[in-house]
Amino acid sequence: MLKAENLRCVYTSGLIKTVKKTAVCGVDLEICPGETVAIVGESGCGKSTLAKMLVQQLEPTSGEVFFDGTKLTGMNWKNLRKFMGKIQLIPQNPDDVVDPRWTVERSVAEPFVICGGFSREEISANVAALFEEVGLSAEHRPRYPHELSGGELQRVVIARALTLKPELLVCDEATSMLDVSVQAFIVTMLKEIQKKRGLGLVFITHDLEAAKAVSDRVLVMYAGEIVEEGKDVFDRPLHPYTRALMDAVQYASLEVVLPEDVGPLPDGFSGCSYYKLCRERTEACKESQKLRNVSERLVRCWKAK
Amino acid sequence: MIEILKNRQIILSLIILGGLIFMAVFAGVLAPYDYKEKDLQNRQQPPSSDHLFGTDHLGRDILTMVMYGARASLFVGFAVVSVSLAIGVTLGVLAGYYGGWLDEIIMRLTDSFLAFPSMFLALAITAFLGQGMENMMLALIAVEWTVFARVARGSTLDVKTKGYVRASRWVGASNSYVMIKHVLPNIISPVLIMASIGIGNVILAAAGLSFLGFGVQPSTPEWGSMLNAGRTYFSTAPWLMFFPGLLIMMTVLAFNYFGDGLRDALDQKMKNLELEGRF
Repeated sequence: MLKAENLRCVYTSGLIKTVKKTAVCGVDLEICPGETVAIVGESGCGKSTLAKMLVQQLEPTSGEVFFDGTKLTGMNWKNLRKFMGKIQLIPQNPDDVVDPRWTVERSVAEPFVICGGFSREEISANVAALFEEVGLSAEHRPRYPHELSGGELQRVVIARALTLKPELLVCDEATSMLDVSVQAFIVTMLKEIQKKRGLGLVFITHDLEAAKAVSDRVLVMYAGEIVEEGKDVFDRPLHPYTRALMDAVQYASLEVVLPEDVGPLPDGFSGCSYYKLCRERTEACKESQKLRNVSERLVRCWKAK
Repeated sequence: MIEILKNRQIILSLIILGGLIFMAVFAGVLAPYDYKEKDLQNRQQPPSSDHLFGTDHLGRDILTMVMYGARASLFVGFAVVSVSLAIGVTLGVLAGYYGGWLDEIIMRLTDSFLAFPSMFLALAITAFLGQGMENMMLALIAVEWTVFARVARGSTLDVKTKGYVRASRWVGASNSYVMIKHVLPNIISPVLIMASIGIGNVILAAAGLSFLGFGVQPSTPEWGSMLNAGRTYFSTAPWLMFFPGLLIMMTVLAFNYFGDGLRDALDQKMKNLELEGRF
């Protein structure tokens, strides 16, 4: 359904002395209808940038995004409008997405109003149904965003994202601002909605447990690259980074063993991006690493078996 | 709205302003004399029971003139600020929202207006256009709109990065929809505060221009021109200048207090919002 090819994003800053920072380099991704893909990785690894490029909120530096075979990248605003309802982003911070001066009901109804072609009765019936779908009662509808809790507000945001019958939801850390009990509730609800509507779901998170619980397939990202991709990644991690990530969660209080010369990679280094931090590195890791197919898994490490 | 009325500053200023507006609107009914009526026998009478505020050098009743004068002054204040607000906010929102070269053009234009001292600019424009109430108002608008453009642009820059602007663009909203439905309502409170303070400033500036003879015709009652007319007789009949001066001071103070109180009340609301927390 959604297909991304060789997505790259380079942030450039400064006028005279330009500084370039590669946030995402060469990500290929395909999401099928009804599938849940989790993207995990540490902060700064390019997860959110990838999400923004998938929903076309950010123009990639190079690479293409296709939706049902239609190329979305480079499309002008007028044509892109037709696809907007189909792909929706649920961001991390729910109270940024609803206008503080509007009732939540009006915020949820906004996409109907913008698209036009709905009567007042239809809109209010649809909005009521959406509120019910995300488990909010009628008394929540006329309230303002500051009168709702974070979890309730996140549900409002989800209801809003569902208005235009999307086929793909991209949840960018959608639960990390919420407390643990609410997180579980939201995740379960998203799964239920997905099952009912047959949506594709991209679940970006740094919470490995949540990723494991919801996903059909996991993508592990490091330094803007996919280092490992496949099913049951957490049961049988093949890439050293995936193992380190799991250890970091499990033994958060223990000292993590790092190699001696930790620091930025030297200029022009074309080898494995995880070289400096890897505990299992060898001379061969200085060679450029490609994603290899190892027992139904894609791994960017020559050692993986 | 009710929260705003809890502010003592706002209540006090609203009472004064209400009184002034009432006086201006019903001047025809309330005034004890006709403002055109000259009584040369009773020139420069000090305040008495017949003439509460005394009479001027042509024997006109000062109380009557001050009441009619409120009409001119308040009209100038409201009209100039409304027009400046409309111009300034439109340009400021466009500049802030679109950015780029449009922002550069509009803001450099604003800067060039702001580069002159405001009173000097107003004087130069009235001197160029000639005397009269309309020309004076044009000059004041030319001075006043820049403030609104700056405030509106600054607030727009903040609002346009908000998630709800992106979210509404992402369901297909046009730029004008976003500007009218999301940006304007969210920048309006600082703009209204500027407006309430601006009315006071404009009334003062208008009185100043009239005092210098650039404003309304001397035959129409206006506080600034009354001050000017009374200037010659200040040592023998100080009430000629005292009462219009007092009214100017009260009006400007009331508008400034109102703006101040409004800012406090709105800030307070924001503070409460933050303290309430979300989780």
